[in-house]
Amino acid sequence: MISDFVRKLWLKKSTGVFLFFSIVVIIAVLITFLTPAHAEEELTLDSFSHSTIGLVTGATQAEMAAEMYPEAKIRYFSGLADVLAALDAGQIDCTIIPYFASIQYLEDYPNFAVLKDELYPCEMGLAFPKNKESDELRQQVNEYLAAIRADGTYEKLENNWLKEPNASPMVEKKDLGPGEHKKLIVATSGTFVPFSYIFNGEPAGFDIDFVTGFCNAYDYDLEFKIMDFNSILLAVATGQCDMASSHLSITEERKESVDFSDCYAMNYNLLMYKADKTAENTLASSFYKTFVKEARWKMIVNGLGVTVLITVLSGLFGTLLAALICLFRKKCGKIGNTVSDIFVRIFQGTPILVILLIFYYVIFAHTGLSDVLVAVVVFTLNSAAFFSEGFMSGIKAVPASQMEAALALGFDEKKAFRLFVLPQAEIHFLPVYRGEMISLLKGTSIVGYIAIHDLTKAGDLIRSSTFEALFPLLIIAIIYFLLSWLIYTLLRKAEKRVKPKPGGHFLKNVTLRPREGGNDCDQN
Amino acid sequence: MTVIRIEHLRKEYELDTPIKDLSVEINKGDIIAVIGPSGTGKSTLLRLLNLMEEPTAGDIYLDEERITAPDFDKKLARQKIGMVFQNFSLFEHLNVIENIMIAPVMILGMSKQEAYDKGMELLDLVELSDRSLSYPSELSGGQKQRVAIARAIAMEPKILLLDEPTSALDPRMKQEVVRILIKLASMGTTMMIVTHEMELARSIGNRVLYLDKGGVEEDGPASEFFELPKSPLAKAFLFREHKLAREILPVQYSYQQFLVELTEFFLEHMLPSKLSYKMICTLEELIVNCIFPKVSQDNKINVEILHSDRENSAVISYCGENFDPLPDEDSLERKIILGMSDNYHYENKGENVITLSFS
Repeated sequence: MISDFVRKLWLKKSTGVFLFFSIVVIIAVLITFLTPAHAEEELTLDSFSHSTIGLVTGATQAEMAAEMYPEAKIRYFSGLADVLAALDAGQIDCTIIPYFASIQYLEDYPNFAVLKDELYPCEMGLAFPKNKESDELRQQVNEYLAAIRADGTYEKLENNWLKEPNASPMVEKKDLGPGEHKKLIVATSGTFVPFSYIFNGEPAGFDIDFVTGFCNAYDYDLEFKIMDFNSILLAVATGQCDMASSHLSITEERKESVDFSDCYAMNYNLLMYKADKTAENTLASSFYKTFVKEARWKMIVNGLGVTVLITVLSGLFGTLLAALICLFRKKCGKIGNTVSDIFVRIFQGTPILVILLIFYYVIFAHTGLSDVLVAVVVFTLNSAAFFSEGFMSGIKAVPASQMEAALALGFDEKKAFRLFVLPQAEIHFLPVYRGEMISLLKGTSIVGYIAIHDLTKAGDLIRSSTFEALFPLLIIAIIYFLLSWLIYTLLRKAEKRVKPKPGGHFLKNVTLRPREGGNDCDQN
Repeated sequence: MTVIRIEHLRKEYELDTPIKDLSVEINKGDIIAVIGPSGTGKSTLLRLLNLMEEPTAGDIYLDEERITAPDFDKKLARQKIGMVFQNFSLFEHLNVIENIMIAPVMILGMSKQEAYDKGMELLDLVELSDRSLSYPSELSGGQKQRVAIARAIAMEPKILLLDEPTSALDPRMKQEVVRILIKLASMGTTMMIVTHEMELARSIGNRVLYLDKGGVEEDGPASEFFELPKSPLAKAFLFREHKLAREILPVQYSYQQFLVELTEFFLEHMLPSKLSYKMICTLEELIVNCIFPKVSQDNKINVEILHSDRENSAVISYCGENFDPLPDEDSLERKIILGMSDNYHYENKGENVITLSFS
């Protein structure tokens, strides 16, 4: 009886999904909170010489780590939040982080500890593209820096951001008033407390206040562009932004591709490790931090909107383009086939992320096209390549004799294609189309690489503020799953509509002859 | 009344010219069986008639209108020429009645109700009105072909072209289709049926068009044609004649090789083993024992073996001195040969000719 009940429950699709996620949540929670404790011991720098060190890709700490610990294993992550999550999960033994960041992290992660040794002091600066126009801007920044150092504003900033954890923004963008104002596009990581992170859905931090103050002083309009830390320097070098204010250490190597302002803050590094592995971290506080604090749920909602926008537009345009490709193939014979073949091969054979970066940093680098538009273009082309393959194979699956029969009846080619070939091809390609649509949705999760705040990026940003992996990742997985499910259901409905069904489409409003035996089967 | 007139039609492909010069007139009420060996352009003729292919030369007139004219609207011609295919080609996504209705509604602008009512009448005609809402995939081959016929005549064509309409069907389904075609014939429908099945041609056709060598080799009433075709080519085709001709020199003669050739020929044309045994023995006896001793070593001997539905015969001819190899009525050899064959005949027409027949 109980097994019957379970089976019935399971058979209901929604119940099944609910149970599935409940199980995932329970397992994740158990793993997070039931990890056994380790005994404490006295640690020195030498204790980590054979450890696994986690670092952010593109950060200067990589060189230090390699120099200090030639025997250690180094693993790279795309943001500090990932590094800390990995440290918390025991995937790495330690990380090297800037002193200022450690203040906030030690507050958020009471189970972490740092060694007292101060490592590799370095200067931090704002980065500019190497060109004349930027030179002027750089001079202005240096002037501004000198000015605020002199009048005490700098000290206020320093006291607010760099001395105590849990600071809040103190400089507001001023109203510029009427008239033309040059807009500065400033790249920042948004993932690095206390210099640049997301607070109440907006960029905040020492870097942010500094740049805002600068723009206020020099009457610039200002737009922050949140980018992956490891792509910021590239964005500056290729002129995607006017400057980067993103806790960048000044190094000789970096100076070759970008120019730096004067040093606006000194930084040194600390080795951080997990001291106490049984942290006090309740589910309720995790949930609060992830969704409620600073109205972070809004970021998820906005991200969801962007993901849906890119998916819907790319899906729509991709479908149209795919139809055009099919037409081109049919009409232009050999040339059409070769050209579309090359197009399809390129997109099938290259990772979509690489194509996205090429379009963003190379092809559309200086066009000023908005990021979302670039993403829509790339995903349109990509899905068109895959859709057109599906369409073609669907059309090819319809025997040529169907076309011939239609022509023989006296239909012209266009009508014959529309009435006879297409409806039959649809039956073949709709299942493929459905799969490709879901792939498209999931594929859009990489747009964070080109500074778009989609659903995945929203989760990343929340993680980098809360240093919690469980809820952001889980909620985002669930939302993606539900979206795919929606796509699946909608397209399934469309499929059912094109499939032949008893009665046919053509007999609407026709009075059918009653069957022998008197059973009326009129349908209207 | 002439429905279709074809004048000096020619169709060339890159590697082949299936139709060289073909002229024919099709009259109302004609039920033409187009027959002939494969590769003689029977199907090409149908494809030319409904303008699926462009002729290389020549013209086709439908109701005295030149439909092969470059500016003639092919659609209009095709609407007046019905077509039934070997593999049915029903529209798989439409049900039976929709298959029949769609062309009258979408092309002729008939109302759906009218097209439905007419379609149901046609289904009555092809005895399938109870399957009107079935989909093609639910029908047998014979039923599909009957629907295809109904679909074609729903457009009220001047002529119905049928391309091997029963070739893809088993005998029982064939019978269903043939019955429907006979019904149509009795209603005076003008039809042109390409077939390689003589039974179908014989049971339906009132006129036979025998195509061979790229043209009309024989054109005449079906009754006469099937009795005895005038053209030798048509006769050979109709009665499925097969010939094996060999030249034998006594000096080079190899019994083994000759035996292998004969056996292969008989096997290929599926002669009963008893019959082939009789023929092989008779030829061996006659040639080796009766002719070889009496002719010089380099005297050519021609052997021609003919196998058809109607007869099996062998003709042996040789030059040189005139002699009947079996002159003696009572000789043992003659008795053996007459025992094996039905008939033995010797005559001298400038050379020695012996005719043997077997059964």
